[in-house]
Amino acid sequence: MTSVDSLLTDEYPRTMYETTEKILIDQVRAGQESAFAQLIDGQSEKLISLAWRLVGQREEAEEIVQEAFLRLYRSMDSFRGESRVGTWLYRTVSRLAIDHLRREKLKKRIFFFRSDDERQSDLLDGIADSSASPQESLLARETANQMHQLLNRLPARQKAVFVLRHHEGLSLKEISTTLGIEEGTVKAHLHRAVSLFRKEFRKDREESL
Amino acid sequence: MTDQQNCNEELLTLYHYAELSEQEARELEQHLLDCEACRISLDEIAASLAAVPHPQLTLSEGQRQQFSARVSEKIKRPRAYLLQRWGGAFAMAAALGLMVILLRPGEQPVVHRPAAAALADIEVLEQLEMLKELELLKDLELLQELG
Repeated sequence: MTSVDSLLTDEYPRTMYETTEKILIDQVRAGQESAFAQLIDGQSEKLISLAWRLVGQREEAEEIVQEAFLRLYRSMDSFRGESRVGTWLYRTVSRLAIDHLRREKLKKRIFFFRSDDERQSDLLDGIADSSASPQESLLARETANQMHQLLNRLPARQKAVFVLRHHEGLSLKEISTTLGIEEGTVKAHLHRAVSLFRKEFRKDREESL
Repeated sequence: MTDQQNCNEELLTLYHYAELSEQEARELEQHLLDCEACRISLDEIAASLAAVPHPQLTLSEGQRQQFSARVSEKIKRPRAYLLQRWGGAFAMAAALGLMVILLRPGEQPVVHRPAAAALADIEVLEQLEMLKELELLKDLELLQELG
């Protein structure tokens, strides 16, 4: 399971990373732009992947992560290092993505934009199909599509809880810290989301019989 | 926890994700031995979650560098960034100014249909901009669920 705290230390021992990070932060504070570029380079893939899973669009995901880095840069002088940079960014990206999803939903309601179902997402583009026959392949693709549409219809926070647990592999406690909500609320959101997926899956299976 | 009254779907979800304590997991496993309905439910949870797409994103070295360069560029040009950020607010102020001029008392504004539609859009935009900043948004989902 991925841990928020282990996000930065997959490849490095914790103390080594902490030392490197502290040096980079000091260099950024001293005005070395290349140090911040190094911080970005070390974090961008995980953060863009997270934002992409949450909002479904690569371009929007990159904008969210860019905003998180800009916020980090602007608050670098007051960054006290109580949490590690990666953890801080992960939380910020998660919360910015939730705000983004809420705004998009509101915009659609106000302007009568096309529904979530019609919205193009690039999340399904790269999914490989390993089913045996073309018929099974088609069915699996159709089910995946239904599930994906359902995921997009979930309320923003519920979707974030589900993605953080199911796709990102965070524990409920880590999700609670990341999103700043009670663990009981995380459990309730996760259970509600899973119930909806079960219902959709059952419906899909009945229709294909 | 062996009779059907103790069937708890939320516990099954948490069990699937290995989020129960050892004690809770043991009790649930005991219950599963006697409860076919819960065994079926647990299988269904696993099957339905396996059908949820699991997209993976990897960035090439070049893509990472491009992204890093873009963010660095934004940092170097904070004025452009601020202009972009506050551009919406300036546009809003201009739109409101236009409304004040059009609706000045004592003068009969000539309102064509397209202009009226534009004003309606501006009002909606204004509402959206206000809503964006409100903490109320945080409770939107709760209200939706209650509704």
